[in-house]
Amino acid sequence: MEKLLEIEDLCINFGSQPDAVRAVRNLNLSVDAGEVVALVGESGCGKSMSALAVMKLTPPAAIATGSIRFNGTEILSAPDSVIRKIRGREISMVFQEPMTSLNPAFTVGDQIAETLRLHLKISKQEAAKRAVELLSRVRIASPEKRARAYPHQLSGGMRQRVMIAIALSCNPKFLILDEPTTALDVTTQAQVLEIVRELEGEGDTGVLLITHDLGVVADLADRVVVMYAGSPVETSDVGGIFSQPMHPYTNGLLGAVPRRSDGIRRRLNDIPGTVPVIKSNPGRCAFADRCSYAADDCAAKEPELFDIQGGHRVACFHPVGVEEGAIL
Amino acid sequence: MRRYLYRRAGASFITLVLASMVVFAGVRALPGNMAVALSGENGSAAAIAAITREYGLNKPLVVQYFDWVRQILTGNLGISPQTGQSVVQEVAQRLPVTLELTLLSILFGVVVGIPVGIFAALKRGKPIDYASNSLAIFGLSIPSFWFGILLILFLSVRSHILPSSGFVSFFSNPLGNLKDMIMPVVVLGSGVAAILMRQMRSGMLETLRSDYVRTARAKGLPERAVIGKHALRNSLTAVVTIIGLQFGVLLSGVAVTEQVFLLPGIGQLTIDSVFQRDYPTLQALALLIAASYIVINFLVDIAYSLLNPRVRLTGASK
Ligand SMILES: Nc1ncnc2c1ncn2[C@@H]1O[C@H](COP(=O)(O)OP(=O)(O)OP(=O)(O)O)[C@@H](O)[C@H]1O
Ligand SMILES: [Mg+2]
Repeated sequence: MEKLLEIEDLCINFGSQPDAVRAVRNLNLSVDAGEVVALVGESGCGKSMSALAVMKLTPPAAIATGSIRFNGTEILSAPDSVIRKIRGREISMVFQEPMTSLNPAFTVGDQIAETLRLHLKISKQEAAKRAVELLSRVRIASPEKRARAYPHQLSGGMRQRVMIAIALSCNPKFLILDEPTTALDVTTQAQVLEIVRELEGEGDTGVLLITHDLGVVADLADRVVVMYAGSPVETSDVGGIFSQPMHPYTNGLLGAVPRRSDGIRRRLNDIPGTVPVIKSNPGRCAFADRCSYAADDCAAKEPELFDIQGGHRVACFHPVGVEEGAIL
Repeated sequence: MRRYLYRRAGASFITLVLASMVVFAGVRALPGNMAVALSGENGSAAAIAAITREYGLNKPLVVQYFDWVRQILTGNLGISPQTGQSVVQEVAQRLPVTLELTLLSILFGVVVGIPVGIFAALKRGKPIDYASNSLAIFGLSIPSFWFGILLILFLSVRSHILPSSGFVSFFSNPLGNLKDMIMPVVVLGSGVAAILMRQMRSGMLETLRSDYVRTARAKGLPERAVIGKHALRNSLTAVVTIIGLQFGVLLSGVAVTEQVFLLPGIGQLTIDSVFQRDYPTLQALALLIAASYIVINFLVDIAYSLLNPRVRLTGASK
């Protein structure tokens, strides 16, 4: 059966060949209705770019190739008129930048109502009423009053929740949350997670969750895709990632002895070194320079995702905890 | 909002009072004896004494200043030695000409500059962007008297499309009045258009990159609404300030254009008054221009605050 969202061989380049910055390389990812897929990885590894491509909102300088199929529509080649009916209605995105994503010139109530009126063709009064309801749904106190506030009168956490209210306003089939908790204090984080959990409980919304927070992953995700330098390096259901991380990079992220029980509320571990910027075809494992398991073959060829057991896929010649020679 | 308005109005009033003092002191500080100047090149001692008495020039400066303020408040600024007419009447005759000229020039600048600026931003890096930019630089760099003379040469002298100079009042002959205004308005307005176009272009480019414009697109809004509502509103704030500034620049800079097209406005009156050493009129004109600046600034602040809730609600200044 067709998945709700299917990304195949997505590549996003900045600039032209052969000097292009390859921000995303051959990403394959699918999300089913009602499923939460987490996308994790260090800063700059291409998470936001991949998500923006799903909305066809990558910056003008970016060139996206491959295929993104949503509910039967090929996003990357669809005309603007089709995309506009999908954006805000079928797919919504909560951006990574809550402070600057609202328009300073309009009240937040108006900004929520705008989406409602656009897609649901309801009256101004009805939209204003629903905007207030949405504000209370995202746990904003005295929503009538807040609806009349301008963004600069709200805290970062409140703005983030307003963005979530906008995203949820038309009950989208697919929701992208780009680091929804990163900029927030612990209490607000918990509230935001509760909102997402509630959403999962009541319907079949598919969610792509981008996060640094492994606790959030453990809490909410069904499946996980780990990205490194623009490429997926490991994908598995959430249990597999926490119980048996196979890629040395994932292993590093989780710390030495990862266990789901103590993984809660822990952030990605620091791994010495930085993510390389990939330009031409690397022809080698992008992680090799920072990898303690690296051997000669890692510098000779770039590993591809390989199914090791029951959908747990790893792009590594020397996966952790797997007998040497078990693959190939 | 109301409190903000009161505060701004109060500040404007204080500025106006200070400006009147500066204008007064400035005219008094001009070199030469005012009475001698007013009585003409070879006025007799008796004439000088009479003028000294008439204008109260022997009184202490402070008293003279308050006399002047009282004159302003009663709407009687004395007689212009230049024409023998009352100063107020003289200025009131000329003011509509200059106001019409500046308002139409600003309008021209807005109507041409803002759409072209938006268009250039949307077509950034395309030929149309370069073309409008070059035209703007041309509009800014050509001296107004030269531009005016060229227009007269081609549109009046050669092809007789427009009258080369002169002025009829809008109320006696509307069409003729507008015809008289076309060339001077193009001369003054093209500079305004160029400045507004460049400001609009850069402001628009900046807002188009902003996160909230991305949000507007993410909602599924058509590009028309993304640009016309979300981007425009925020790029206009800077433009409004510039429009106000341009108003001031035009008001004190119309003299050359008025001279080229022989329009009987404030600019011409100023030049005549300088040559005739008509101090009462000069003083009135200086105050008028200062007052216009202040009023326009006040209006700009209101427009700015209407566009920008952060200013409106907190009273923070730009
Ligand atoms: N305008 C641009 N020009 C060139 N490269 C760019 C541009 N914008 C982004 N990139 C590249 O795209 C890569 C991916 O960026 P992206 O924002 O997707 O990272 P991310 O995984 O979301 O990181 P973070 O966790 O910091 O949000 C970056 O490494 C950067 O080099
Ligand atoms: Mg990001």
